[in-house]
Amino acid sequence: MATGTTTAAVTVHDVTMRYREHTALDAVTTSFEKDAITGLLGRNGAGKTTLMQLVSGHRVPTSGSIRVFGSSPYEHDAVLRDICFIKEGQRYPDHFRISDALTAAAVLFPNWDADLAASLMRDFDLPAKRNIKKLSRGMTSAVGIVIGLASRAPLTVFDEPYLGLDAVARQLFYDRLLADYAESPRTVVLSTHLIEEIAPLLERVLLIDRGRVLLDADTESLRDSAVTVTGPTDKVQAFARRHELLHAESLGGHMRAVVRMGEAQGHRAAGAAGLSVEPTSLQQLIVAMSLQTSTERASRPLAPAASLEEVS
Amino acid sequence: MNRVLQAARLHLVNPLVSLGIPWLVVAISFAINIAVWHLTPAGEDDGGFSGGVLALYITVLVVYVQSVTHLLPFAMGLSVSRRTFYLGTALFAVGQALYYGIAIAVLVAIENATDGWGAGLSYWAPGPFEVDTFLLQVLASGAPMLAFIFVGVGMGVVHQRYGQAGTWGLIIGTTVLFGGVSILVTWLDAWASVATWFSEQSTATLTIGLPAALALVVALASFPGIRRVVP
Repeated sequence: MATGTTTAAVTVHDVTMRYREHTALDAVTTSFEKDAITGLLGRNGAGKTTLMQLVSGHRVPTSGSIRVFGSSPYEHDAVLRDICFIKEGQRYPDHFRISDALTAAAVLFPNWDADLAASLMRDFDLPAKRNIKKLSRGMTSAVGIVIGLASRAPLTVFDEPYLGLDAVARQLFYDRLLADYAESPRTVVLSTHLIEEIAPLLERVLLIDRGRVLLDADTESLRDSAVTVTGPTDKVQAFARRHELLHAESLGGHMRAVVRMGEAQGHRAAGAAGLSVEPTSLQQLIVAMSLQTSTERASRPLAPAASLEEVS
Repeated sequence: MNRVLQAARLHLVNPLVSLGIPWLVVAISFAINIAVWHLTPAGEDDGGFSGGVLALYITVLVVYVQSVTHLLPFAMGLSVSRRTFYLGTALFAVGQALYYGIAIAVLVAIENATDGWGAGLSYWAPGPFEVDTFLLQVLASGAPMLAFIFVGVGMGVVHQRYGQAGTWGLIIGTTVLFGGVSILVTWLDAWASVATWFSEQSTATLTIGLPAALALVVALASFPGIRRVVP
């Protein structure tokens, strides 16, 4: 799970974050690879935002250590200036216009690209002189996207940056992110629920569930890590027993099961058993894994939590 | 240091509201005072004392409460550390206190040259806040401003750190503190000594030394609070 520090922009070691009433992150160890786009996935309340706040120095972990470019980000200006964290629901001063927010960002981000900001403003059709408080949800999100991309910060963190954006604007965001990323590679972390949409962008995936790492892998290897087999219930059940079953759902006498195995192997094994096999998309895999842990929790409430981690 | 200057610069992005509103408010208060002084014989007794200029100080205080509650979350969103934001704000505050001190000293000079705006009005530096030289007047008007600014910053920090409950707690706590002190002084039958102590202090101590000390104490007290603010 842990990657060498030489290729990691961010390392998170044994981090626990406890709020008064609940534990948001529980002994999380992971890293964000340098110059890669990492998708931070997980259900609502999984701990994604907390992890991003910790990485951006907005919070201090209850225990454990966070290193961004080798130093703790908390109250450390030399590190912070290389981080741009675009959070969901960023607050702007009451009377600020879009142009004021961009002026401030241009002052504070050393790599600020004014040309890029101007062209993004045109792409997203943003009125520079409009008061930010008067913008729609989607336009406010677009302001965050413009700042996030034009900051060209070596570590750029987006927390659900697309809220309220229509499908066209989201596609525009993905395209511009990819284009600018190709031009000046940097470490990008994106939290999102729209897995299917964003899957082609991602080089790595970090899935967290109830404050624990469920999956930490590169998308290339994930693409070929699970198959969906369909067929008569008894046959699928028999097949699933011989392999690692992630998730199953039955309808009438039929059953669909997501099973951990490579596609080629799946075709051989399941084909021999007379079952049909199809590749599992990233979204299906993530859903299957998240559901698997919640059913495991339901059926074995006292199960040692460590067993969940071994899945990855 | 460079980063602190950048944080101070944030206060000057679209400053129309933060710079304009205090003057707008005090201009209205001043106009009312001028009208009253011209229409009534108010200027003839007691040296034409008016507390109207307090409107300027209080409005600036409110502006600084907002500079913390609005600008801090934004600054942190642009990767400014809390400490740097605080230092930048303090730097900007000192500059502004000086600027208000100079502006008020100029107005006091005009006031004195025009026999209190032609009505015996002592508006811009009422009572003991009027001092002899221009330079002293800058300090005597500016130091209280610095105190008001840092009290505003401190209130903003409390609000940002502890939310609405914190603000109410601060108000209740302050009331209890001052109420308790006055009960204590009454119980000790010491009001006369308090009055004597104040009358023994020089004008400079009262108008410059005490406000500057208050500003420093509040500044030092609110710094630890800002360190754990989550935007």
